[in-house]
Amino acid sequence: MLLTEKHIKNYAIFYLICFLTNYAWFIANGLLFSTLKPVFFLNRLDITGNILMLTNLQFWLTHNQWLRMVFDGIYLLLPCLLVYACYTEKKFQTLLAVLTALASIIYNYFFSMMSFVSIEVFVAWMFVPLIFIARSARAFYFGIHTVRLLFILFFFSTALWKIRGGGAFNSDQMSGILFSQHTSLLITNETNLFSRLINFLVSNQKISYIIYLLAVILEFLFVAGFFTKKFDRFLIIIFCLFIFFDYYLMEINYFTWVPFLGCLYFSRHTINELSQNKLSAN
Amino acid sequence: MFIKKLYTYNKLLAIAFICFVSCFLFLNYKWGMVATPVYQFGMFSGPIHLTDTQKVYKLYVNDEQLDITKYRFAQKDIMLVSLEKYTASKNGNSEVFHTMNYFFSKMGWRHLMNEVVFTNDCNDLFFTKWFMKVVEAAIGYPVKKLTLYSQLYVWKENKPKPINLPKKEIFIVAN
Repeated sequence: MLLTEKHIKNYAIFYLICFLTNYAWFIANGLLFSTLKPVFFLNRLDITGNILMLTNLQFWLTHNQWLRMVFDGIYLLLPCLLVYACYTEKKFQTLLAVLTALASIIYNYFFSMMSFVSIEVFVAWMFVPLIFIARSARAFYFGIHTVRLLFILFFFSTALWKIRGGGAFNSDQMSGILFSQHTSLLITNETNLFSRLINFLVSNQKISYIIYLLAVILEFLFVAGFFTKKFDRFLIIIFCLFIFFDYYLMEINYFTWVPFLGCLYFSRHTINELSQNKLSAN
Repeated sequence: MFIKKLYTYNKLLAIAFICFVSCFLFLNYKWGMVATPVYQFGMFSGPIHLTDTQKVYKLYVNDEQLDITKYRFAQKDIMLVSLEKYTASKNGNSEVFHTMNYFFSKMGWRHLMNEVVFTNDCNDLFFTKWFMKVVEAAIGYPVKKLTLYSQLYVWKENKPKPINLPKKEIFIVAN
């Protein structure tokens, strides 16, 4: 199938739906700057992050409710404006895409320092807006393929980390993880179904280790994405399974990564022969 | 090959892509610092054993123990992880500063580093006031008295078992 400008709009809508759904989840849980009203931060070994902190924004945010509201407002407004610009084919779409990505980096860096949410959860909001720099099908083609490769690299690296860190070779890894993730639940609530499921998995190390190994294998399968686009729809299913279990079993919300799936969905679309020949001739 | 095509299409984009990937591979190989938006996705990758001791926070609101597990996981995490993060920030921020200071000095940027910028100006009393509001928002009724205990647990005979008596945490000062 040929990639057209219409697909940019389709992806933009998909991105906005994902963003608004996630934003609503964060509102429902009081997870915005203006509702959380954070008073402290936990710094981490992050070169860019520490440079950002030289602006003193962390103190401005812990002391000024008006700034927290401005931050939440801009964070919501930029993706909406970006999608509007894509839809109406405005010239400032390119500038907005860059601004949205930069604003996401700043907002999410400070938000993760001041809340319980890890920064890695927000990665899609930093990269996906860059796809909409594209105003032509050809630029969109290169945008989605560049971000697709980054997404595959990120996800594949999680498998490599589990091998390098040694988790993949530890037979009580998943039992240990579930025990540490759900200790409060296991000591206070022994009767509900979820608690019984976790107790069963923690007690049965072999079964839980198989789940962990299966997760490592599924993450490792993403390596195929470096060589072929043939299995991209299959990778979408694997990824959906992964975030589903992450949410319901581990209680970690990785639905924020769903916007990356657009890259896998559109990856098998091609650009027209003329454009490709032009590229080869150059 | 995609990179070749990308280079033909837009040299700048191709160079940016190669730089990002190189940076990602380097920082992941070095295993330590990151540089937003280049991260390490190594969650739950190191060995975690069932024999590891787990610290559990127990909250007493108006003299009654709060069953944190009744709440949505995000609410539960706001309460529990905030406590963990606040205690971690007490020494953690200073440790991070000294490591970053060493790195920035090597880069010749030492003059930019000032510990005050990287240190919380929030004390225990201020944190407690904020935390009480967080708990109130989660449970939906006023918090007049708040006490925090921690206790260590291990997994034994298919059950979590305490290995010490609950210890009162003094950084929560709302009594």
